[in-house]
Amino acid sequence: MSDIKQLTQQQFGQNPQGYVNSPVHASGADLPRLYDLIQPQPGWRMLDVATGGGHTARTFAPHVRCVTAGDLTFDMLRAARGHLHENGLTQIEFVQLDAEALPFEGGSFDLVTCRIAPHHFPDPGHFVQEAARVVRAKGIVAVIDQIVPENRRAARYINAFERLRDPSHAWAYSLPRWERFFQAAGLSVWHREPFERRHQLGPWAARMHCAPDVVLRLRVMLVQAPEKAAAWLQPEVYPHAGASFLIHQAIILGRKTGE
Amino acid sequence: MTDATNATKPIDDELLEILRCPVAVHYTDRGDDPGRLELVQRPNGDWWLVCEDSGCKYPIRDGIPVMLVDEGEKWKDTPVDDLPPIAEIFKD
Repeated sequence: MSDIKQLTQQQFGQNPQGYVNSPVHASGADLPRLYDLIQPQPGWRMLDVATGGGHTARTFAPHVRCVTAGDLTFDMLRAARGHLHENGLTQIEFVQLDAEALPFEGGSFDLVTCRIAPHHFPDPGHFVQEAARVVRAKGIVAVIDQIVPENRRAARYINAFERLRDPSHAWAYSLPRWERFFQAAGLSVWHREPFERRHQLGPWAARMHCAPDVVLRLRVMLVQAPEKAAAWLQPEVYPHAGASFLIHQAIILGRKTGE
Repeated sequence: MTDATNATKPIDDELLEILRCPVAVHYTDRGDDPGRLELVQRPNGDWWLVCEDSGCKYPIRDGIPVMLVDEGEKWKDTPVDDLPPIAEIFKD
């Protein structure tokens, strides 16, 4: 297993309940928006890749026939299962899996989702290929993830900023790059929707248990951001302590082409 | 090895029907449906998913199939009868 995958297992395995309860992951307008866009059907079988706290699975489960929730981290799955079963959602099955090597027969699912996770994957293009393989013809692959600007220098800076806070952050890609991942996998992109959210540096860093010196370096990176990175992050640095900035994400929906 | 039909299965039949070995599912020389898995139970009650095509064996830990390539390949050369107790593998 690659180093970044081991780091991801460590990162999520040390505080699985934190991700189950995390307001950023549990709520957010993107979840109901995703549901409205997809309009899942009662007969559907769905796969939620990198389910984390199981929030996407929880949103869709009452409206589809069955959900398989997969994650790289076993303790994350166990925490998600406990949370979902407490809420009466017992029709969800759990599988420990690698997003880039999905353990399913081709064409098994009507819908494959993956939310706020691909930036941890070493090769998200490979994940999209796998998602396209396991979804049926005309089925839907839905990704929500962090995006960065197309400008390479700005993208590198923002990814370095993210990785300083979370070493399991592999890389966030631009929206056009995501569309190319989909197209290369035989998925026709029928919806793309960027959105942004302002985060306070302190709580954002605290969720990853960043040491004070790391928080200081993150603040310095916001102050010193080059022009194009600053235009994307739109940092607001307060005089004595603290700062805020924008994180951009996007919903990308693709439909498998062919019969 | 115990016949899976004689005991309470740890996973749903419908899930078992679509689960495949993540290694063998990509084989191109094993027919139309490579990577199928057989659910087997050990005398100690442990359940495993065994792939004849690749030899990989995947433990079912606390009701959750561990379908990671590294885990499956670890037991590739171990006969089913010699597989260790799952509790010893993970020690949680």
